[in-house]
Amino acid sequence: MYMMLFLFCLWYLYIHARLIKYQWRRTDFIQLALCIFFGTLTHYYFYVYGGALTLLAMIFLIRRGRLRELLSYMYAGVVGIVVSWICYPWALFHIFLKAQGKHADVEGWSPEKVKEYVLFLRDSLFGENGAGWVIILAFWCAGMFYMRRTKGAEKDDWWQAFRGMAAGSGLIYSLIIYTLDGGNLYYMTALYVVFIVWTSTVLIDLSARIRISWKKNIVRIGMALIGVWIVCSGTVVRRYVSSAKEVVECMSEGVSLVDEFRQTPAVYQNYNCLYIEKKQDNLFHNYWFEFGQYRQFKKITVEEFYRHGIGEEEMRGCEEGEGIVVYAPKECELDEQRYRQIAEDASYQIYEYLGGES
Amino acid sequence: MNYIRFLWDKKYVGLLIVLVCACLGSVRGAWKESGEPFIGVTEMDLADMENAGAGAPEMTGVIALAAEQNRWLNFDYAFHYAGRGVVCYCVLAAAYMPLHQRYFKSAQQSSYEKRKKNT
Repeated sequence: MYMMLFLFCLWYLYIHARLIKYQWRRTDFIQLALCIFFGTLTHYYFYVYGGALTLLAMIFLIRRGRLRELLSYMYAGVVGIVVSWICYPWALFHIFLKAQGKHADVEGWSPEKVKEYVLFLRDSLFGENGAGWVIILAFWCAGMFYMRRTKGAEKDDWWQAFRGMAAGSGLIYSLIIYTLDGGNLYYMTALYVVFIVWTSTVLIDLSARIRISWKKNIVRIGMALIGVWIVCSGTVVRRYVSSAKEVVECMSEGVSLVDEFRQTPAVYQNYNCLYIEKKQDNLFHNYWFEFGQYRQFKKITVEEFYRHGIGEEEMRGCEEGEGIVVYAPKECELDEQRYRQIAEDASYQIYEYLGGES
Repeated sequence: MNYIRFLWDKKYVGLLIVLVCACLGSVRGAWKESGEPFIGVTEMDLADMENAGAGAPEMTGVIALAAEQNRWLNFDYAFHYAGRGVVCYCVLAAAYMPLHQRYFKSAQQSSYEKRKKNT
């Protein structure tokens, strides 16, 4: 869902680039409503990024006196959200009821937290060496210097407004998410959209303003390579690239991407499954999709297991001769003579029931 | 006819009212569905069965059980509330139309006549 969140945040930013540059037509408002509809159904952090960018866009429209467009913009936004809530109203319950519990212990800001935030941004965007931020800052200053020397009219206006909105929305988003969830790489997805777009605009801007005619292409290619180096040196991009590399390696070697624990249902798909539940958990410790691959499924609580183990009662409904796999928490000990361990992960072990009396 | 034309002229406002009403219905339907009993064996049923000396329930398929839980009350309520939204829009339009025509001179012309004049 974070890949989709990246896509919809990028699409939303593109729509606002058009908003600043051109007079909007009806198709642009339909696009806005559709983007909001799909984005809000993808992840509730789209509300945070969308809200930040919308706020800045509304300020832009008010300052430019484009009030009719502002009304149409608000209308399209409300339609997108409302249709999204018609299709999936549980998003509201998740935001205001479930997630409230998740963010109940939010800490306030202190000088230490500001320092951690800045270091987190530096590491995730520029990597641990930190040289990238110095270079991009130097390029930005050079771009601003050349812009003041060759100050144009409308082209510079919309370009600067777009860069300001992109940077501002990314900053507001990262501050809110850092306050709620701390430095979590994948929660900052929208920030990476903004970072890549903003870095690109800085480099494009500077390379367009440098008037070195005989070396122009070399300068532009050099800028592009520096931009790619800066963007790819951040922790998050390196992580994504290494994950993609792992996928390609597994595919080329014919090795399964999934570990042995997750492969068990495919190997034992004609078996029945008994799951020992540690606590009330509707997603069954995220093994939900695995359990659907077995013939039949049943859960018992860990208290029931400790009281009378796994006996005939727990196996009732299972016909003679049918295989059974048991998902047991690591702290539960099963008789090795009746159960053979197949696989394990950090929390659970999978056993095959061999039979015999309890 | 003026009233019908007025309803058509303000169709975007009407669409917003209908969608907002449908959204309220959808939320209400979801709220009701969240309070509906779970289909299948619950923790309380297991405790009752044990107390009654009955055996544990038989195995069942998890995906089929999950699919049975969906009642789609959100769409059901959204549809009914959208109907109420249409009625609400018609009533509001009927109440507002005289005020609109009194205070906006251009409103005395229909949007068709205005477009014809502009072309």
